[in-house]
Amino acid sequence: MKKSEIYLITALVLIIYSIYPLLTGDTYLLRVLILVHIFAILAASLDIIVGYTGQLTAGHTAVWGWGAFTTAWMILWFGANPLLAVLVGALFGALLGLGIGILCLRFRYLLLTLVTFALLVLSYALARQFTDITGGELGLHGITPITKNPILSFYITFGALLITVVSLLVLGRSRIGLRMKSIKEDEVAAETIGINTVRYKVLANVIGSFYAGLAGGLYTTYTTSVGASIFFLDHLLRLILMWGIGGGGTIIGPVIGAYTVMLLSEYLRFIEELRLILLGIIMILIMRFFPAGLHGMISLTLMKTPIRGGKVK
Amino acid sequence: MSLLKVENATKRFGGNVAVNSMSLEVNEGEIVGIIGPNGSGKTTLLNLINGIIQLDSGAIYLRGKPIHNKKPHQLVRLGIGRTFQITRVFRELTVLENMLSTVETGKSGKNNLVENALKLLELVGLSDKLDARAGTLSGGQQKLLELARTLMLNPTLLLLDEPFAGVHPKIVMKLSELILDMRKKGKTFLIISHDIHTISWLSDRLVVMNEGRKVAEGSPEQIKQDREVVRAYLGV
Repeated sequence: MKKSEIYLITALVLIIYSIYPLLTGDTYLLRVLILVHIFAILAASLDIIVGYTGQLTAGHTAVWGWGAFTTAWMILWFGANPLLAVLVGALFGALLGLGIGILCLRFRYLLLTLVTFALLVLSYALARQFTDITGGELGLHGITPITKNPILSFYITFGALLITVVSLLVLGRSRIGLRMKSIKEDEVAAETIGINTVRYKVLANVIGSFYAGLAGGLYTTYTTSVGASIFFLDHLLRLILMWGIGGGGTIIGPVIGAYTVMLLSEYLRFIEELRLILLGIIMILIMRFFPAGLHGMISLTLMKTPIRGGKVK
Repeated sequence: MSLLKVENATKRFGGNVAVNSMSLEVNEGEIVGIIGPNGSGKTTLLNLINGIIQLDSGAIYLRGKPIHNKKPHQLVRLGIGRTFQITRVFRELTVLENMLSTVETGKSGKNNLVENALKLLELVGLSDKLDARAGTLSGGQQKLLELARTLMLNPTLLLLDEPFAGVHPKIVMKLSELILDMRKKGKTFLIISHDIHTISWLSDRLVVMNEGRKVAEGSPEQIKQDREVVRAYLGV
């Protein structure tokens, strides 16, 4: 298939997808898709950190959670407009990303994963401890949503997803993205061709965390509550599944992964806890036989060219 | 003033002294070869010069200014380029992407970047491989790509670590011609090689290292006669 044909099909799918909410009366599916959008933003933003600069962070959902809390506080304490509060949540995420990025410079590979995982555990402990401001396990409630209309919610979150994906794709395909990928491949070589690896690794964290904060804000204004449970391991596991099944290092891959994982989990509710086991097995099979993920599979089938970038060393 | 001056450089790894009070000067436009048995500290010396590792004691100067506290990416801006013994191309990136991932330095403006990349790939004979993944190239082609990528930075001093090792004789010839040609254009080379034949033919001067020290230095003819060198290589 030619590139132009692929673009045409993609455009058609996007158009049909965009008008679907107006035609359907199925608000249940709409609600699922809104959550898919939010998690897809989170998965795509993880990719700029893991898939591009190769920093295997396990702290992405911690940033997401604090973005959600920040948004909630802005609304509950300062009566901020929900949209503005979401933006503040995103900015706070970026600030956290800056801190995590600088902290992570000292760590590599498994150590980096462990340290960032510790941040997630610490976040949970903090949220449980300081119940006055976090609401602890019960959480904070009554957060004003951006809108109560599910159709409008669909478009707002879908718009945010499109902005995220397009901006990350533009960044990823620029020379900045190339340099980030070269850091993932070989940090020493990247330094010897003049790349300030410190700056680019921190930059990836800041950008990725901005969108994680954004996803957190959208999540909390949509569910109208947030509690310590936002730091549960389930969210991180689901995020890893999305990234791996979709195919990292491509931005689009993790988005495809988010749709796959979320829709499968939703429509396989009847098998209950077996879902995670099933998804885990799917991920192992994909990693073994198709490390470039579903995105790689689709692109190989349609364009007969293998996609690059799935692997992380 | 010499372009590069290494003064009593010493580097220890645990109890092992990899580079021991090593001094060396390289003049502008010179081709200097470093030879010596395995483990004699040649690569460590190159790693010290381009900032991958830090000196324990001693000093390194570029045009009289100390550079031994700088990071590799800062040294690139000062004009030091480097290739590696085991080639470090970005295997998952295409040939052209490898070239474009470099930073701009001084003369190389943003506009003629792609143009410059294409010109250099033409020079090393990789023009027909632009979209090939670097990992799919042969060992020799990867060496050529790494050299071309380094040239994107427009360096004044090129540190080449075993550029001829494991490379087809045709590519050795091509590399040698390229080096001589670039020297004519004012570039300076410090080259590590085990290929005594090629390095003697290329170099203005040879430096022999053994056990972290400089044991001999002189023109290739002088070195061939040197008993110290024979001893370092043959251990007699």
